[in-house]
Amino acid sequence: MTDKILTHFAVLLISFFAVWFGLSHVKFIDQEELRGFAKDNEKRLGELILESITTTSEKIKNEKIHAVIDSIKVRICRTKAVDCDKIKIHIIRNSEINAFALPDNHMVIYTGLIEYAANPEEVAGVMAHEIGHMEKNHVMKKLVKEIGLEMLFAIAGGDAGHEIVRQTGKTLSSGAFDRKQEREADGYAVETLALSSIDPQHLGNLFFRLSQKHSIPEALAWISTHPDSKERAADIIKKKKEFTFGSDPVIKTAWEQVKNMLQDEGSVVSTETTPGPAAR
Amino acid sequence: MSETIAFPYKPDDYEAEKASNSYLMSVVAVIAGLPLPIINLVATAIFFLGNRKGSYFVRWHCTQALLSQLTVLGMNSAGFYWTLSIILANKSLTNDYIAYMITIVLFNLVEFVATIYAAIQTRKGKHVAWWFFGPLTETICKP
Repeated sequence: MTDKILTHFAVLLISFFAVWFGLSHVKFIDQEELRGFAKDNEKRLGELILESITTTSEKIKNEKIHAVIDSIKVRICRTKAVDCDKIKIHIIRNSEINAFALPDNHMVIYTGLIEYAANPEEVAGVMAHEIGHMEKNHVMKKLVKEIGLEMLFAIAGGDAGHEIVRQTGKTLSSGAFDRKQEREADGYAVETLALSSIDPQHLGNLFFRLSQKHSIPEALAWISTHPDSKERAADIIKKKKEFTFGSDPVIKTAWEQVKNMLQDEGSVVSTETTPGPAAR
Repeated sequence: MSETIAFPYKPDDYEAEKASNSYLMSVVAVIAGLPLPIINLVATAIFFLGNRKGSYFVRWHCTQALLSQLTVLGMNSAGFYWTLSIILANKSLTNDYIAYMITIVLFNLVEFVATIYAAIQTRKGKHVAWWFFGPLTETICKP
């Protein structure tokens, strides 16, 4: 009787796995096609959201300022072997202390953050944090969760109105990622900064200073999207102890000079007039 | 798949009804609790416990129904948690996942049809032993 049971069990098990194995060779989903489709949509989505931001805010075009920020980006990317060219930085004139990642590796940095940062290392910390969100695909995960896949397809396909695109952008600029994702991005930032010979303490300092500045409305932007700042500043300091690193200056230009360049730029550059999707 | 074999005695109408209900219980619970793979097992287990001191014929069929539900639970739970991980933990949708889901749907269908068939046959007082579960029940359930 036992032999009969075992034989039956083996046949049952084999037939289950055989059916599963057989069916798994049917191409229900073409992964390559799916990835390509997703990439195209993500690219379009990134362009549309960026367009909705730049139609209402001035985009900083000063090459010197871009060179400074790009040099920080290159320093961060190189250590983690991230393709520097895929990350597209956009500096936007806005007094909010904020920076955020958009789909397709666009990173928006508000001038408010540059002006508030005590040194370039703090900006490098924020950039490393945002690159962490990009590398871990948090941006698309957040949009799928909060906006929904169908709506994202509609936006990417040009079937959604300008207001919906604007609101989607707002989800990314003023909505927090979940706690786990923020911690992951923090961890990524600390590791990247340490490997780039930038003291992660600076990022911790920025977090701490922002948490103390709740009375300043501009400070609320990045801090509202990055809750538990005090705890996270403490975590960053704790985590940085896992690494041994040097501390090389991030840029050669004096930081105050970069800030002055921003102010000078503000007095000569007019608002960009690229028409938004609704105007086309 | 299943065969009608001779039972040591001829069950009366009351026993046939109870034995048949043990199968119907899992069918009804499957319909009631389709998204949760545990409900049909719980219903069958409660019915089994309620009849563990019943006649041999009733106990035998309760045991066979319970064993089949346990097997289905194992398959369905894996599919259920795989689905949850795709929805909540952002795991990617793969061919393997779709193939697994189709496989468990097929096996559930076979089990569903076999359960209905067994419910009808046992109601007539016939002793239906399923492939694998029949011999296994024979080993576990003694007169």
